[in-house]
Amino acid sequence: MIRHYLSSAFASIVRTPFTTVANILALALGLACFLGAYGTSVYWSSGDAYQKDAARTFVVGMKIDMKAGGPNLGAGFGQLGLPSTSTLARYLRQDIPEISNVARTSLPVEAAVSTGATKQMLHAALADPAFLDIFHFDFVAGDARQALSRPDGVIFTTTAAQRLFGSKPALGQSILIDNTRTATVTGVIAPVPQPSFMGEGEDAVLRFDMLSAWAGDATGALADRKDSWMQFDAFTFVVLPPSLSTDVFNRRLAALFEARIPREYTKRATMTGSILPISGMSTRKYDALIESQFGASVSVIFVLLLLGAIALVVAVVNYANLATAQAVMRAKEIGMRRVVGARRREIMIQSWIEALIQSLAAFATALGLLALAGPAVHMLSDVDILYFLRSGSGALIGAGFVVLVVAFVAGAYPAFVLSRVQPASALRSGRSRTAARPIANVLVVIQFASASFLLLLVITAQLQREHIEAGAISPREDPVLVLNNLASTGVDLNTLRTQLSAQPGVKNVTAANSPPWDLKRTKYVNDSVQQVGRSPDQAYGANFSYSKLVSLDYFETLNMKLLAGRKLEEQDASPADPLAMKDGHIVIDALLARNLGFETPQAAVGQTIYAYKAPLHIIGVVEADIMRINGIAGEGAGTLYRYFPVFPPYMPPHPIVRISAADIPATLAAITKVWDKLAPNTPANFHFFDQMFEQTYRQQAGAGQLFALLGSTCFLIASIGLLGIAVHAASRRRHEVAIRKTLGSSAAGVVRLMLTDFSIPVLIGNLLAWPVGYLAAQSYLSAFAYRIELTPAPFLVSLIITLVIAWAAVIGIVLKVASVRPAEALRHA
Amino acid sequence: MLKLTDLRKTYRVGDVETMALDGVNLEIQKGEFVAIMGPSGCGKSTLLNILGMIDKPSSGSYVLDGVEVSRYPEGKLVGLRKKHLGFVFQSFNLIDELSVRDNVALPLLYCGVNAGERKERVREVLELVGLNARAKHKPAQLSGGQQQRVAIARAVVNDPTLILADEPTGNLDSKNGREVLDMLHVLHDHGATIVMVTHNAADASEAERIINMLDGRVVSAVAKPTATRREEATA
Repeated sequence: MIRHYLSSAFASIVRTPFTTVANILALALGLACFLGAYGTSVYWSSGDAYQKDAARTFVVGMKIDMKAGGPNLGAGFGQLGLPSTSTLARYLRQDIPEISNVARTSLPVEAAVSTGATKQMLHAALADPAFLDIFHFDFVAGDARQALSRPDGVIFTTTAAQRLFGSKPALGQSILIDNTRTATVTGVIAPVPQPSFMGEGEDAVLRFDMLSAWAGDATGALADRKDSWMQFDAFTFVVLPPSLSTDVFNRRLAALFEARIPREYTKRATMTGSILPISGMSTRKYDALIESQFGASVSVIFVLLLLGAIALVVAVVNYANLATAQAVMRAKEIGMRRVVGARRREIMIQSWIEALIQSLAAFATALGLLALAGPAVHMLSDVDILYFLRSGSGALIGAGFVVLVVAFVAGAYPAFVLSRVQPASALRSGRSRTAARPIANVLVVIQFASASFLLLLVITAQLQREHIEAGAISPREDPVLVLNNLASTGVDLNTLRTQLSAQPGVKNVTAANSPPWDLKRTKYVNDSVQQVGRSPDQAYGANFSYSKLVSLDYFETLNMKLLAGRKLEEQDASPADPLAMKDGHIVIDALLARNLGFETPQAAVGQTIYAYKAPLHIIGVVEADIMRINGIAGEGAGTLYRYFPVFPPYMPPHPIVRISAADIPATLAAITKVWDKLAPNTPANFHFFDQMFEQTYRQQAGAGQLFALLGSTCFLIASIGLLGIAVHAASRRRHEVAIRKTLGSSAAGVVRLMLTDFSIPVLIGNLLAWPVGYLAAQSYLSAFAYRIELTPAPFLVSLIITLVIAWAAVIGIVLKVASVRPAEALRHA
Repeated sequence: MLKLTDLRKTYRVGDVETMALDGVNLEIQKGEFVAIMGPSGCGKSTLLNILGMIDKPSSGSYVLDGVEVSRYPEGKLVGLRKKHLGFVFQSFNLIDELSVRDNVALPLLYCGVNAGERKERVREVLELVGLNARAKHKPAQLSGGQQQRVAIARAVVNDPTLILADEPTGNLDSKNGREVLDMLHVLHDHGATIVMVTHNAADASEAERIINMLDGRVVSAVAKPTATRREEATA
C-alpha cells in the first residue's frame, strides 16, 4: 500500500508541475526562514558548551532602578551583556564561600598598544587570574596558569600578536598600553572557538584582542580599593558547585545585596542581581535591545523563532491553499478511488504522503538556500546558521520534527477536502463541491495579512531611519571627524586644537566628553545623566537630562542652531571638577527646555535650574540634540551643555573636527600628521560622524533588515500562492468568462472584474494587519528618543505595495483568461 | 437481490428543491440483466448511484441481500461497495497517472489483497477483456473501446455480485460499443447481476428487463424472453 501511496504521490506531482514547484518553492522559503532562525538559536544556545564547567558557569549581573521615576539603568546597559560592578566579586567570595570560582573581566574598551615603532588600537579587557581557571583557551605560547598572575601580564590573540609583532615571537615582549603602563606578553592564544560570547568579532560580548591582568591596571587597582555599587564596570563570572542550585544562589545573592549595599545607594535606587548561564551571554544584548525597543521581556531567540514561524505559517497556508485548489481539479480521480473502495482515511493518508514528499523536497531546497545565504549571514552577524547540522543529533531531530509537523499541518486541509469528496457528484461534474472558495480566500487573507504586517514594520523602520538621518546627518554639510579620546595619550587639548586649526581644510575644532552617537560605548556614561528641576526640590524629580561637557565652538562645529540667548564663551567656564557643583552657566537644548516647562526657548534664557541641588543658569538654548539613537535617560530627554576649558581625568575629551568637503584625503593626512606628532604611541583612530551613526544604528538596522527579509519572503510566498490560485481560478472561470464575453463584456471588463476579485482578500488582509501593525510599529518607535509620528502614510504605502505585488502576480493569468475565445471555451465546457 | 421501496431523492440548491427520485419501487433478482431507460434528467443516474451506494436516498428503503442499507454509515457502505459492487462509467473514469494494470488492481489494493494475489487476479481479468498485452500502458495510450474494457476489468476484478454500468457505450463507436455489450453478456452469463443505464434503445433491448423512468418515477417495466434478445443481438 505504501508503494501505491508513493507512486500515486509522485504521479500527482508530475501531473501538476507548476503547482508542485510553487508549493515546494514557497515551503522552502518558509522553511529557510524558520530553519535560519532555528539555526541561529541553536548556534547561540550552544555558546561555550565546550568549556569544562559550561553548565555550571554563570555571569552575575545587576539591575539598577532609579527611584523617583528615573530610568532603568540595567536595561540600557544590558546591551553591553550582563554587566555588574567590579565590587560584587569581592563580596561574592566572602559571603558565598561555597562558590567554586569567581572571576571578573572589565567591559572591553579600545586601548592604544605600542611596541617600538609599531602601534595598534586593540580591543582590550582586564581579567582576574581566575578567569583562566574558569575558561579554557588554547595557548599557542605561554602558560595559562601563570599568564595573568603577574600584574604586568598580558595575553594576545594570535591575530593581535601578528599585527603588533609580525613574525617575531610575541612571548616575553614588552609593550606600552595607553601610553601609561608597560606590560609583558605572557601568553598568546588561538582564536576563541565559536560559538562563544568571547572573541575578536564585532558582535562578541567580550570582544578582545588582548587580556591584561586586572591588578596591574590603575583603573582595576583603584576599583579594588573602594566599594562602588552604582556602576557597571565588569562582567562577574561564577562557577557554582553541584550542591548549590541557582535558586539557592539567587536567594543568597539577594541577601548579599541587602547586607552589603550602603544606604546612600539604596535610598536613590533599587539594585537587584541575577544570573545567566554563559550560553545566554551572546543573546543577552539582543534581549536587552528588545526590552528597550518593545518594552517586553522576551528573548531574542523567541522573537527570531516567532518571525521565522510567521514566514513558515504563510508558506504552510500557501501549501494548504494551492493543494486544496488542486484538489478541486482532482475530484474525479478521488471520486473514482472512493467508488472502488478507498476509505476516507486512505485518501487522507495519500494526501499527507504527497505533502510529506513535497516538504522533504522543500527541506532540501531550504538547506540549499541557507547554504547559499550562510556566508553573507556569517559576515554580517558572525552566526553560522547551519551549525545545527553539525551540533549533534538533537538539533537534527528537531529539524526533522519541524518538517514532519509542516507536512502534517500543510497537508491537513487538502487531506480533509479530498476525503470529503462525494463520489457521485465528483464523477458527474469532474469537480468537488467540498472545496469552498471562501476558505481559499481566508487562507489568502492570512498570507497577505502576515506579509502586510511585516511590510508595515519595514516601512516604519525605514521612515524612522530617514527621520534620524534628515534631522541629524543631512544638516551637517561638512564632514565631521571624531578623534580618539585624549585619555592617556599625553595630548593637551588646547595644543591639539591650536595645531589642528592651523591646518588647511580644518574649519572648527572642539571637544566633548562623549562623542555623538556613542553614548552607550563610553565607560564614563554614568556621569552623563543628571536629574534636573526648576527648583532645588525638583532636582531629584522625574526630569532626567544628558549632561555634556564641551569645549568652545561645540555648536558651530556640529552645526547646531542657536534658538535663543547666546552660546558658551570663555566667561562661562566650569570648574575642573564637574562634581563639585557650583553656580554654572549652561546652554540647554530645545527638548530640555520643553521638558522643564518653558513655553519658548526665549523663556528659558536667564532662568536657573538645579542639578543635584546645584543652581545652573541658562544662557542659551540650541536646537534639539538628536545625536543618539536611544538612551538610558528615558524618552525624549534633553541635554545640557557646560563649557570645560580643562576636562577632568575621568571624563576625557574627544576632539571633534569639522573639515572642508573639498579635499578630504589631504585634510585627513594633515590631521593624522599632527596627531602622530603629539601622540607618538597612540595610533590615530578617527571616525566620521556618519560612520559613527551607522555603527550605532547597526542593531536597529539589523532589525530593519530582518523585517525586510522576512517581509519580502512572505510576499514572495503569498504571491506564489496567489499566482497558483489564479491559475486554478482561471481554469475554473474560463466558461464564465466566455459567457460574459458572449453577452457583451469586453476583455478590459473581464480584467477589471478578475483583478477586483483577487484584490478583495488582499485588501482584507491589509485591514486585518493594520491594528496589530500599528501597535508593533508604535512599540518599535517608542525606543527611539527622536522618532516619527505614526501617520496613515505607512499604511497606505503598504496597501499600495501589496496590491501592486498581488496584481503583478496574477496579471499574466488574468490577461490570458480575458483573451479567451467564447466559442472555443463554450464548446469545451 | 435488491429491493427499493418508495425511494426518494431530493436536491436543494438555495431555495430550489429538485426531486430527482420520486417514490421509486423496484426489485431486481440475483443474476438479472436490467436496463434503465429514460430522457435526460429523469433520475436514471441518481438511481444508479444510490444502487451503487455512492449516494444516499433522502427517504425510502434500500434492501441489499436482505439488509437495509439506506441508513448505513459511510464506513459500512465502503465495505459493501468493495465486497459486492463493480462500476462501469460512460467516461471510463480511469486514473490517467496509473498504468492499466494499476488501475485494475486498485479495488484489490483497497481490499487489502496481497501483492501476489493481486498480480494473478489482474492478469486473469485482463486476459478476460483481451488487454494483457497492454498492462503496462497508460490509459491515454489506449483507444476508447480499450479504455472501457479496462474499466470493465476493474469493475469485475473483485468478483462483485452487482455490476452497475452508467451509459457504458455512450462514448464509443458502434463497433467498440458492441464489444463492451458482449463483455457484459459474458459477465452476465457467469452469474453477475447487471444494471445498465442507457439512452440507447438497441442497447437496452439486450437486457432481460427494461425499466423506463420519467420525472423520477418508474413508469413501466418490460421483461423480454431470453431467446428474443439473443436473436436481436445477433441480427
